[in-house]
Amino acid sequence: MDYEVCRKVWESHVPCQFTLQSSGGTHGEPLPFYTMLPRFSYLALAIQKVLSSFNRRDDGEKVHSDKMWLEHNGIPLKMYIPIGVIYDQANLSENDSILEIIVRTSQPPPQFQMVDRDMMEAMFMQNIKEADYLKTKAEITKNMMKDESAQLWRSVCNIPDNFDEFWTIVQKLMETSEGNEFAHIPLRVYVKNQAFKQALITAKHPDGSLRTIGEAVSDVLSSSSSSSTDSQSEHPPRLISHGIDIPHHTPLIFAAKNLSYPDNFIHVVLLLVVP
Amino acid sequence: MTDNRTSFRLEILNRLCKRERQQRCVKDMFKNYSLLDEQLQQSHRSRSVSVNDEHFKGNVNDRLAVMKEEMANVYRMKSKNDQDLIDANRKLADSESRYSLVSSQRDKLRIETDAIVKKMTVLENELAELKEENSVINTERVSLVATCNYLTEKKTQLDNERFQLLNRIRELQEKSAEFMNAEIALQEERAQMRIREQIAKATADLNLGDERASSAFGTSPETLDEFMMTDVLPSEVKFKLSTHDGEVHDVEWMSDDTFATAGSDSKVQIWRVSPNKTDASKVSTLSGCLGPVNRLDYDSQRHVCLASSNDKTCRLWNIDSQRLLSTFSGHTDKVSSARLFQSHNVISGSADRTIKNWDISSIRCLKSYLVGSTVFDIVAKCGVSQSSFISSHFDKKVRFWDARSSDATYSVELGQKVSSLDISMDGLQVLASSRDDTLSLIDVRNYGIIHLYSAEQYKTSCDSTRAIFSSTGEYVLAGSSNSSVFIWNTKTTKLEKVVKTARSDSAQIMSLAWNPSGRGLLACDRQKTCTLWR
Repeated sequence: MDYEVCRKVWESHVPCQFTLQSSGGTHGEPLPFYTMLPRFSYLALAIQKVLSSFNRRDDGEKVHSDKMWLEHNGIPLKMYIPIGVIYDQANLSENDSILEIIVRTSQPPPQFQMVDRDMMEAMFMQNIKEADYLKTKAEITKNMMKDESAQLWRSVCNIPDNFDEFWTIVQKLMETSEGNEFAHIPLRVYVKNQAFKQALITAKHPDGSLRTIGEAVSDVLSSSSSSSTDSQSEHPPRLISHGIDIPHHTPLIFAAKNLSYPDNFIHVVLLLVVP
Repeated sequence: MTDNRTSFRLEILNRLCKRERQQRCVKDMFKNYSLLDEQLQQSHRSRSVSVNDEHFKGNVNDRLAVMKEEMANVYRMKSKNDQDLIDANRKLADSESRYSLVSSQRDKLRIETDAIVKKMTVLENELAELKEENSVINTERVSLVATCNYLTEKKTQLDNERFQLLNRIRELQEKSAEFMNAEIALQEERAQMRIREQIAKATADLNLGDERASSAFGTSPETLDEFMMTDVLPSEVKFKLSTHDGEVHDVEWMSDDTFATAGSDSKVQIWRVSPNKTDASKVSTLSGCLGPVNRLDYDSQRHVCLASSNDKTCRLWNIDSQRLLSTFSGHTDKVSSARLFQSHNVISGSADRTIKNWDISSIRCLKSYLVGSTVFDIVAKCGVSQSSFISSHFDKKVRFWDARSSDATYSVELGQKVSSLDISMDGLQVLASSRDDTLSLIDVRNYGIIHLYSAEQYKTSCDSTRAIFSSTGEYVLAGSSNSSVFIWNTKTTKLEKVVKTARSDSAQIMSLAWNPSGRGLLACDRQKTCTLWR
């Protein structure tokens, strides 16, 4: 475990702009709301604060969380994906800009899924179990206390204050010993305008050498689709996570231990290099 | 390998740092933005508050009025609540005091209950004991009943035997009385013979030729008797006389040879006895009464005769002129007895439960004594005081009176209702005849009963049956219901003689009179008859 890398990843935030576009506002739309959101957090946790700032207005309709939906660049947002991943997906071309999110109060499209805080917690726990199953056949979560997983969720809710708490739990989850190494690495690869891709990837090659993250991503892509084989041959795509390019030769096990989101998955956004 | 590892790590760190640096300005800007936003919100809030204030000032007066009204309402409610509270407090105090009272009573009652329960257990024990005793007694009783039955049988047997014996005794007594009479007659004869012999001897000794004297002595033993100052027991019936139509209620000697009778035919008759004592002839009749005459009385000189009658009056006649002197009417029921009293008064007792004292000269009732019980007989001239009299009553009492006081001075209770009274010559003893078939001799001075007289066959005939003293008081005598006269010795209470007026037992003797000379007994009965014994 690399404390420094983990700490930096933990503390990283992204700038966001929320704009309200209600269907029938008589007094005009209020000014957009600007805020920095942690990369590890989720829109489901942040939306309540945004709505309350809109609802502070003297007049105009109140915006309720169950009667609105979120949109970016005309695409409904998935509230259960970590904010850092959303940002990385949105800002693939223009670096270092603000993530613009439009809050709409019209009838939500069927693709949009409203997620509240309790649902988010359940999904988070599910992800942790899935990742642990991939790594150790769920050996660790089975032995984990109920309040320890709750503690992890609590620390995610309070980013960036409770790093020490987060650190102790994450250490437990990422611990490996000689005879007990990760079987597979939980890795999700995001390609633009597609659902994320996921495959069974081992940490090492069958000959015992460490698998790099570049190899792992190409394995995932090749296992999921046949079309990517030609693209891989030309230029290796950029691997974006946490707002940075991950070097292709980074060992997969290092990425799993230090660059994972709190749900124990490595979320990598694939950016094809246009020649 | 280590280079390789550190290289990618450094690369990652550098890229992270670079990204951070790039974001720093944005981050600062956002931070300032949020601060500004907060300040804006705050100022907005304070402004909205002041705006609200101005908005309210316009209708503050209305609101004030409304508030005042509400305030008044609130005060009203408060006062009402206060009142309720006070009431509730009072009620609470009341109920608390009541509760304490009730609880104290309850404690008291509980103590009482305990005591009662204790007592009850004691009583139950006693009851059990008593039941046991009762069963024991019951068994005893059963055995006793058995013995009692046996004894009752025995008793009836013995009673029968007793009746037989009694009859025999009566027969024997009658026989013995006959024997006694015969013996007395014999003794008398013997005494006369002895006297005669002595006289004969004396005449022979002194004057053999004095025939006159001897004839005087010899021919008149009866005249000799007449001057004896003792009472001679009657021995033979001289005559029987039918005097009245109906019952003869009273008979009195007026002198040695005249007597008066009173009867249920409302008449008083005066009779004279013939010199040889074998007959009597009517001298006069005193009439005027409208009902049966009950009692006669006469003055000491034998000039007047007083009769009490069922017509509720007393009447007084002059015997010589046979003139009705006066009538005393005022009683509301029959007059059972009347007596001359003191010098010129009459005292009368009636069935109307009063005694009246009359003045003869004015024919006026002087005083009434309320007795409360039927008067059967009344006598005067008794005791030491002239004003005292004695009455006998239905309520078994003999009352002693002083004419001056309206209440009896003393009363003596006998065994049954007292039918007649007679006063002794000295006025110190009174003879009372009671319906329990006894005669009582009562001392007038200390009211003590001196003697009781009774006999086996003696039965009083009715409520007006009369018992008397003999003329000197040596004997007491009374007529019985079976036509016999019983004569007792006053001092010894011994039954001296029984004489019979008729062989049948049917004639009830009503009244008796003893000749003042001491010899000669008149008895009147219910069957018209007067009988004289000598």
